[in-house]
Amino acid sequence: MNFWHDRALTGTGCIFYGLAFLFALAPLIRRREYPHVIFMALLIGGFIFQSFGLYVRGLEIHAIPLSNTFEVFQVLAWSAVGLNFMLRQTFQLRLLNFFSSAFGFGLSFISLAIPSWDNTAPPLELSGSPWVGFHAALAILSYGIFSVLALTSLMYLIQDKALKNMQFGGWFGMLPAIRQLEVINVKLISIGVSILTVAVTIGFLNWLQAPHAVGLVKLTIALAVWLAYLYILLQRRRNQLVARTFAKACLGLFIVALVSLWPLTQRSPAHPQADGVEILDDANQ
Amino acid sequence: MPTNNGKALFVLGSSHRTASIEVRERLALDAARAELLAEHLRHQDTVEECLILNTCNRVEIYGVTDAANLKPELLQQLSSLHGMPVSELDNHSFWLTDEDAVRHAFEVASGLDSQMVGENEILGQLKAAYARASDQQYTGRVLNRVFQKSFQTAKWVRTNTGVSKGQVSIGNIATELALRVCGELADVNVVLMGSGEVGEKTTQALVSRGARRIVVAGRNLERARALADQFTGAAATLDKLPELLKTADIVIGATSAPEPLITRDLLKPIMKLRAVQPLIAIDTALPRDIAQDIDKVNNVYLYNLDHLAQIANENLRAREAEVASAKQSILERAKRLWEGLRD
Repeated sequence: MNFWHDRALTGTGCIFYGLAFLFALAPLIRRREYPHVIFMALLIGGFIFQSFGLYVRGLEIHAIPLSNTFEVFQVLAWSAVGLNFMLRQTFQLRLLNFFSSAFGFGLSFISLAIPSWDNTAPPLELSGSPWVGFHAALAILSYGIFSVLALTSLMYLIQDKALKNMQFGGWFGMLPAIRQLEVINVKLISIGVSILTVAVTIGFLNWLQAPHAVGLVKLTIALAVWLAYLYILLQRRRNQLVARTFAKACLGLFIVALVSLWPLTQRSPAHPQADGVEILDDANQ
Repeated sequence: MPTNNGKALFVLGSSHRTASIEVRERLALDAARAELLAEHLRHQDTVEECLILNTCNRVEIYGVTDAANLKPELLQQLSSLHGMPVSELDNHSFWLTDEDAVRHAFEVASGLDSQMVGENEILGQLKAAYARASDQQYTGRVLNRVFQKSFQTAKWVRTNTGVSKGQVSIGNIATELALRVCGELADVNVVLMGSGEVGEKTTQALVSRGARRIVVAGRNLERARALADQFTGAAATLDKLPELLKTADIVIGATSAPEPLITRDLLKPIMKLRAVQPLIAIDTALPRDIAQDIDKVNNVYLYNLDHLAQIANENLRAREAEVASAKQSILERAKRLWEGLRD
């Protein structure tokens, strides 16, 4: 196991995320704005260290670093923080950076704190099946989008509760508007479901070629998560699931999807080798 | 009771301090009934001077009497007027005399007794009530002196203490709430029901922050149109309310209607038609224009006067020392004035 360098880098990224979160939290508790320049320096610093750590890990295993739960959680935290930078600029969503720092820190810390999540078997070469790598990359990208959706849904629920409970000042006033969050939530779930649909389709085609490579549990969970998100999207489009209930559904489903990542990243008993792209199947084994 | 040459100053009132919003809306007087009550009191032999202060948060009768025990008689009259048992009315009212009554008038004028501590609107309302009573010659030596001094005291308190520091108006609160729900105000639809002063100021605050689509709905279309012109908005009659609610983002209640105009039964089917569009309902009226149970309807945010006052008083703790200092000063001024009146 020569992963010391990449773990040190991702660990440093985690510390930066944590510092950014705590740096913003202290003034927010006192109902004040936090200094954005220092906060952003810490958050961007965390993102750079984590990116570099994942890059080193990718070089080490000669594959996309998605071969175990540690790597999946790291990539998920990384994609959520990265997407946050884009969304923050595009939609001017106040406080999304703060929530992203908490999310990035939380996921990164948990993945580092449980060493068994990083028990990686030597990965297989991806060259034989580039579609599998593409499928895995799309799947994790959609999970990244769903993680940001969970954050914006959480922000929606906090804003909604604050408005209902007449909480006026402090950081409640810094949260984005309800209408803005509803719009961004619909866009995020639409994009996320679209990308996950492509990922699932590619995964399904791979599975047709090698059905023995994917365990039933993995297949069921992957399809269940996709169907659940699709159902929420359709219900929202039909105006049957809106406002608070929509936000609760998005947040709740992401927690389930996050928990379900653990079995998704486990090897099939018949195929104990890692392939570096283990998100939804082991199709290239 | 009589202490001033055999005459006593008294105030019988009910306010947010003694009565819940449900009770206050039962005790609320419209302008005509308030006028009738003042006239009735003034023509009683036992009441020499009188002034009625009737706002959305208080109904107070100030007067001068030589009767030894006027309170039960007044309670009985109010009980008949409101159809409320005397015992219940007594539970939700207060009775102050002489120096305490002076102090109370000073505190009311200074905004110290307001639900939103330190607010300025009450001074205007008190001045208007005094002007009405004075025009009708219902006031005399005692009330003239008490209220003129109360206006001076209010000015002193606002100039020399920090009771109004950081104070936010209902208009500002409504605007902040609207921004937190809608984001930009440029494309929101605002419906103002009625022409109550607080509702009008709230709408004005929204307009000053960018709201452009205003509809004033009233029983009287001409009056609604006159008010709508101030906001370069449209006017409608109240029977168009269900139609207006289909597109409204903010609805403000400011009528003097005795019953709610927006009920859950009315709103629920409308909200189903516009499920993804949140609605902010700001009720500045008393009796309320918007039924309380509509806040259970999905995507509706309801704020009545109690809620708005709760928000406004969030920073009250920081002003408590200023309020205490102002009250102490008022106590001394009330004592001086009452001693002057007794001489």
